[in-house]
Amino acid sequence: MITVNDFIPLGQMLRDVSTRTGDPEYKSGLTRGWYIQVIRDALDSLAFSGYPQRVTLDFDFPKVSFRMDWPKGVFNIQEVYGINGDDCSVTNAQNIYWKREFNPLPYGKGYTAARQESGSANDAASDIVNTDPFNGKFFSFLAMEGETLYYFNVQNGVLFFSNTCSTFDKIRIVCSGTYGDIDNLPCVPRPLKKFVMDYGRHEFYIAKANESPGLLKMAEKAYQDMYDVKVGSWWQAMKFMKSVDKKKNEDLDEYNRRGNW
Amino acid sequence: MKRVSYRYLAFSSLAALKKVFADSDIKLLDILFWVKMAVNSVVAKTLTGKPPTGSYLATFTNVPVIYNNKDNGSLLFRKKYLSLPANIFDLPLDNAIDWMNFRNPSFIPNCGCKEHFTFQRSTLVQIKLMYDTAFEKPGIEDNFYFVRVNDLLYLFGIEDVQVKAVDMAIRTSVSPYISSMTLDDEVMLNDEQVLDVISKVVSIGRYVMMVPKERVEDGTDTTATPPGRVIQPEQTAGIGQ
Repeated sequence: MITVNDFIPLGQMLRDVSTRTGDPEYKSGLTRGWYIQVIRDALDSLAFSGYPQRVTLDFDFPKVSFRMDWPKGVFNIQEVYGINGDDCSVTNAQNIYWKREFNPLPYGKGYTAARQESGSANDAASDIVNTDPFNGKFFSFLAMEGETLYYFNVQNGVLFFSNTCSTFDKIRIVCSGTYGDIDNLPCVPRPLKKFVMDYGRHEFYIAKANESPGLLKMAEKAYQDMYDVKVGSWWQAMKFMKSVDKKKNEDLDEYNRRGNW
Repeated sequence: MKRVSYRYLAFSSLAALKKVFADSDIKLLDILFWVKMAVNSVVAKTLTGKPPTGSYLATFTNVPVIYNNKDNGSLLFRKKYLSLPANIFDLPLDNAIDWMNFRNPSFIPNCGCKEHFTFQRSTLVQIKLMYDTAFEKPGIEDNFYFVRVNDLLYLFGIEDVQVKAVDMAIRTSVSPYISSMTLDDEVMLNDEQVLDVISKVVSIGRYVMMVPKERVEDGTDTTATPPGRVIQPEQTAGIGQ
C-alpha cells in the first residue's frame, strides 16, 4: 500500500509529458484532454496491477432494495463490513461474507440463486431448500448454532446483500482504488512520475505512428524504458509500491519474530 | 525593428531587370504583384519547417465573435464563430493560427480563477467524437476548441459563455490583390530572405521578356534548338550567361 502525500499537480505532469513527446503546445493533433486521459490510464494500469491505493468507503445500507451499485473508482473488494452507528463512532461491526451466486430480489426477498441462504442458522423457513454444504441448517463451518451470518455477492456491477444485513446502518467497503473516479482529473504520486512520463511517450508515438511509421521505433524505445527488466520504470514503480510502507513491514517482521503468539 | 519596404524590393528588382534588358518596359504595378507573390512563396517555405518560427506572427485583438443561431440541424447550430481578420498561410494542422484566447467574462481579481483561456485546434470530425470523451469534452476544464472552415473559425466549448471577442496571433500572408498600400509599407520579411525574393521577381521578369523572343519568327535557324526544350521560370536565370 502506497502512503504518500506528495502529488504532482496535473499542470506540471502535462508539461513534463508533452515536452517529452515534443508537443508542448498541443499542436500535433492530440489535445490537452488526450494527454490527461493518458495520464489517467497510466495510473489506472499501475493501480490494477499493484493495488497501491487502499480505499475505505462507507455507504448507507440500502434498506429498501438490499442492493447498491458498485462504487466508482474502485475495484478488487478486500473487506466488507456491516456497521452500526455513524462514521465517527462505530458501535457494531460484522463481517459480511461473499456468497457465490447469491442473488436476492429487491427487499431482500425471493432468492433466485441455486444456493439459497438467508443467513440465519435458525431461520427454518429459508433453509428448507438449503443446499449449501458449508453453511447448512445443522452444520456450518462459519456460524455457531443460533449465530446470524451476513452475505453479499456482486453481479454486473451490483452488490446484493442478504436480508439479515437489514440491521446495519452502513456498509463499509475496503477495496483497491484507482486514484479517484475515472472522470476525475488525475494527480500523480511523485514516485510514479517516471512511469507516467514513459507511458505518455509510448501512447503518443503509437497514436502518431499512423502518420509517421518511423515513430514506431520511438515507441519501442519508450516501451523499453518502461518494461526493461533491470531499470524499467514500470518495475521501479511496482517495487516502490510494494516496499514503501516500511513501518508496517518492519512491525510485521518484529511481530513474526517474537514467537510468543 | 526595421524591415525592408516594398519600395526597396520593387525598385531593386526593376533595376536588375533594366541592367539585363535595357529596353524593358515592365510596369511597377507588375513588379509589385510579383513581389507579393514571391514574398508569400519564400515565407511559406520557411514556415513549413519545424517548429514554425514566430517571426511572421501578427497579433489581432478584439476580433469580434459572431453567434450562429440559425437552426439548420447541424453541429454548428448555436455555435460562435469569427471571420479571419487577415489572409493566412495554409500550414499543416492549421499552424498559421498560432494562438487564440478569450478573457473569462466572470473573472474578478483574486478569485482564484483563470483570466484567460486558450483555444486548441481541432476538426469537425474530432469535435463530434470529443463530446463523448471524459477529458476532451468541449466546455469542461480548459477544453475550448476552434475549427477552421475555410475563412471562418468555429468556436466550441463557449456555448454558455459570454464571449464577444477574442485575441489571436496568426501568420499572415500578403494578399496580392489588395491595392490599398504604399510603397513604403514594410514587408514581413527577414533580412536573409530579401535576396530570395528579388531573385524570384527577376526570374519572373526575365521569363516574361524571354518568351516573346523565342516565339518571334525572325528568319533565324530554329532547328538548332534541342527538340522538346521547355523553359521553366527557374531555368531562365542561367540562360544567356
